[in-house]
Amino acid sequence: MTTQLTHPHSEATVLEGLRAILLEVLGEYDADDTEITRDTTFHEDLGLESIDLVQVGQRLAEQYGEHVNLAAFLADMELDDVIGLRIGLLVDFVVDALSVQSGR
Amino acid sequence: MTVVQMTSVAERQRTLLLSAASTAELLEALENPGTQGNSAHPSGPRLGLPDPTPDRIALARKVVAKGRPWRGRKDVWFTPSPLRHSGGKVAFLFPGLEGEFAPRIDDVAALLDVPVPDLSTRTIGRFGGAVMAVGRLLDTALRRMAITPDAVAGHSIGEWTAMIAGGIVAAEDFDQMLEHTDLDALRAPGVEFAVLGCGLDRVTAELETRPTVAVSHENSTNQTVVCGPSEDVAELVEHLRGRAVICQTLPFRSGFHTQMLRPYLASWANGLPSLPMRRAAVPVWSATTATPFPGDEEAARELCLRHLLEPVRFRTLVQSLYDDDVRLFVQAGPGQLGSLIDDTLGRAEHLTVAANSVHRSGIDALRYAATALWVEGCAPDLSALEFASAPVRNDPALSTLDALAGEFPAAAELSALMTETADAFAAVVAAARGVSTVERLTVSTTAMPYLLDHCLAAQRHGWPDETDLRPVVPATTMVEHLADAVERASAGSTVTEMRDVRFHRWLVAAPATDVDVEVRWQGTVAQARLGDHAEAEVVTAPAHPPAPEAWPVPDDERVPEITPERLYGERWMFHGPTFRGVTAALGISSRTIRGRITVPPAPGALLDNVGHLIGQWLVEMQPDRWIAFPVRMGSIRWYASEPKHGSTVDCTIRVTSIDKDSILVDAQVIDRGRVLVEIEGWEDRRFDGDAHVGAAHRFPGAHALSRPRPGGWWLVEDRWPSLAARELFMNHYLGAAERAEYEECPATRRRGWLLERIAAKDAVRGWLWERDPESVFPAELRVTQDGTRYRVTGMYGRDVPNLHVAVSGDGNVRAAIARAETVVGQGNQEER
Repeated sequence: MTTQLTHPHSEATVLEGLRAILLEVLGEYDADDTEITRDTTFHEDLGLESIDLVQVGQRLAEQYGEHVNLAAFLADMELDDVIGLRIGLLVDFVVDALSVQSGR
Repeated sequence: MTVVQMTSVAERQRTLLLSAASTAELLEALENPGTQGNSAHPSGPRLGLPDPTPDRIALARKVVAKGRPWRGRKDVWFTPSPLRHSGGKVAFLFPGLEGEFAPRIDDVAALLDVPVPDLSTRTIGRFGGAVMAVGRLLDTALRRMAITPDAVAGHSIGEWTAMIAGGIVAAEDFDQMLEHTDLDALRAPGVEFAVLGCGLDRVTAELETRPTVAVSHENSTNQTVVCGPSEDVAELVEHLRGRAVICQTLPFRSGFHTQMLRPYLASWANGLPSLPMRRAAVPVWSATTATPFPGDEEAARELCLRHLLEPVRFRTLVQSLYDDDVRLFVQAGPGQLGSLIDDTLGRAEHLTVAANSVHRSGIDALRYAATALWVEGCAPDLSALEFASAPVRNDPALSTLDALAGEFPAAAELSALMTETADAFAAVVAAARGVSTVERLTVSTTAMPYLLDHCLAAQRHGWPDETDLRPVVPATTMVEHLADAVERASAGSTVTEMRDVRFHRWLVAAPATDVDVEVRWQGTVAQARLGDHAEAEVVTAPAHPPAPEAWPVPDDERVPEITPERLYGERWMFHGPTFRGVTAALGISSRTIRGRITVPPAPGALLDNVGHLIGQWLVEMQPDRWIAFPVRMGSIRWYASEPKHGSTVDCTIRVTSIDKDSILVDAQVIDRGRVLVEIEGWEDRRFDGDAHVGAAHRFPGAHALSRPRPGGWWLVEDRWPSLAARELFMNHYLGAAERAEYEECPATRRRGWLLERIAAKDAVRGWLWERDPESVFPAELRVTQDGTRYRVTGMYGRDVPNLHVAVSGDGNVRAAIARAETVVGQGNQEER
């Protein structure tokens, strides 16, 4: 995974990465035309439940390294926030976590 | 040939259900949705679209073309080979307490013609009761749709719902027990729950060094719940989050499913686990053992108790159900239970579908669930979700006309004309289907000054704190608000009938409050709700129907003893001038009363006065138990507009049944022989009110609930087992500050706490009355407590000397005594 850190992660590449992870979690075969943008909501649009975040967190850590800790990010959120979570927020979180890492 | 089935309900509620011999034929049918066929394909591919929008149809095309199962994402269901046809069983899984509880069941309750259950989550007991009530309601609705389970189970308290649904515990036994249970008084330890996003093994390893924290739920492959003291749980959560485990603490506390509940076990064991248990009609699976409940009564009871103290092994349960061939999992409640099943079963072939969802109405959620189950080979009856057809079509007047048509041709024409009108009207209403309106109503004594004539508590003349008067909106005024809201929403129609009118709680007008008046059309009937205070099913029509005949005057009547002057003057009825309408008591018998009503000015006052006559009948015929308030009316039918303020009408009341707790009557309001309003099944709840209690209720300033005893003691006994009765007398005894303290008081302490205040106030009033018989209202006294020491002071100018007040007793009895404080050095021993 270290190769990933040598390249800057733009919002666009992170969104693409997240999209792949979400489709995997969704269990959808092929790249369906499931549209996933910054405004897509985790629960209402994708039909995912809070428990599905466990898998998303695991995949993010696998792809970007353990400092991308979704659990720590979610810790400050209320249940309602988690339910209404937008993908854009996850993208920002990953980008922030990676920039902190590369700034060291 | 391809079968295309469509349900016959309104277009916008169309459900597309397709089955075919092959996916190719299914695709073809999807392209030509008008195709009609006549042979079913029992094991071929199936597709279900609950509302076939263009988006869904487009997605369905892709899904069917791929030929692989698609189970519910974006509300499309498809299977190449229904699970039911290869022996898959159906299980209902009832949710327990979750972080979010947002059931949508109003319309389901209306469909089943049952009251909407209390959905309050204020205390752990109430929350549990609400979760179970919703589960039971959905169980009934699903079965009504011919969706029957091969097995039932539940998560946490949902297991109790499953025990009722599966027939181990009789629903009547449970309901009867609930009636005698103060849910708010049930207690559980204040330990915290945390949901951890990892499996049981990982958690077990972490708990080895944390003896105070225990596993309460093995939820699923990736989720485990632990329970313990909040600081210890917080430490574990912090530790795991640092290791990328997603954790969340739950917003309610209790130690259920751990040994931490043990000290509190008795009160819970007295609930459902104490009820008679029989062999299950449908296998009920235990989440404690992940096997079906034993058939033996004592073994079932023992398991029921273990369930309270041992972890819920939901993951293992789901796996066991799957191993027993369950493939169709119906989540019989709101929330996220289904996601635990999906997490546990992963890619193994199964369907999880929720019968309730925050995203759609209760009936729509059932329709979606039925669609999913049909696709997997079940045979749900979607027509069970339709409300009865337009009530105007069932008007007996029409059939009367039809019967007359043979003799009088004009009657046939009139009948045809009326049917036409009714059809046009039904069409208008049908167009309004699903539309709901919400109006906000401000309830205050400024907005509704007449409520000052409808106060539950009497106070000293000129009492400055209006909230101590407890002004409440009469049940019949709520009826008027519901009717007005429906008429405004129905554009020109008249309310001709209300059915199943229910009054849930007092609507207190001081301090001022806002409530929503909600009107929702379901079919041609409106469901109207006034906040969570009252609700009714309201029928509108273009005009009033023909009136029935007035009942004959009962032949065993005598002249009533109580004149209207006495009825109000002696405060048998607490109403003030704008509600006082009974102007003559005409006759009374063992089962009837007749009176004359001059319609007073307050809204809803006409029907309120029907209630006054019921009250008078009780005062004369049941003097030991005469206090009563309306809780329900089976139906109110209007045959003309209500007479205006100042008109005089007669009213006849027939008592149809009476027992200790309630009285049921029918009533007619008649104007010169013509029936204007007829009420069936008006039910009043009765309260304890013998001469002694009754006097304290009528004249709280001059009479005490406590009785004087030798030696200066005043003794009060709690004879009000129901909360409603307790609150009624509480209104008389507590001032605003004390009511706030009562609310703060733990539910288990409230009864004793209130008795202590009643006894203390009565002892002090007794002391004052000995010296001056002038009225002293309980709210004029303020009781404060410092440990075992009680202090009683006067409010708003009431002078109370320093008295030493002692209170003793326990259980349902308290006694208090008041003595003058002996001031050292003053030598004043005059007072004992």
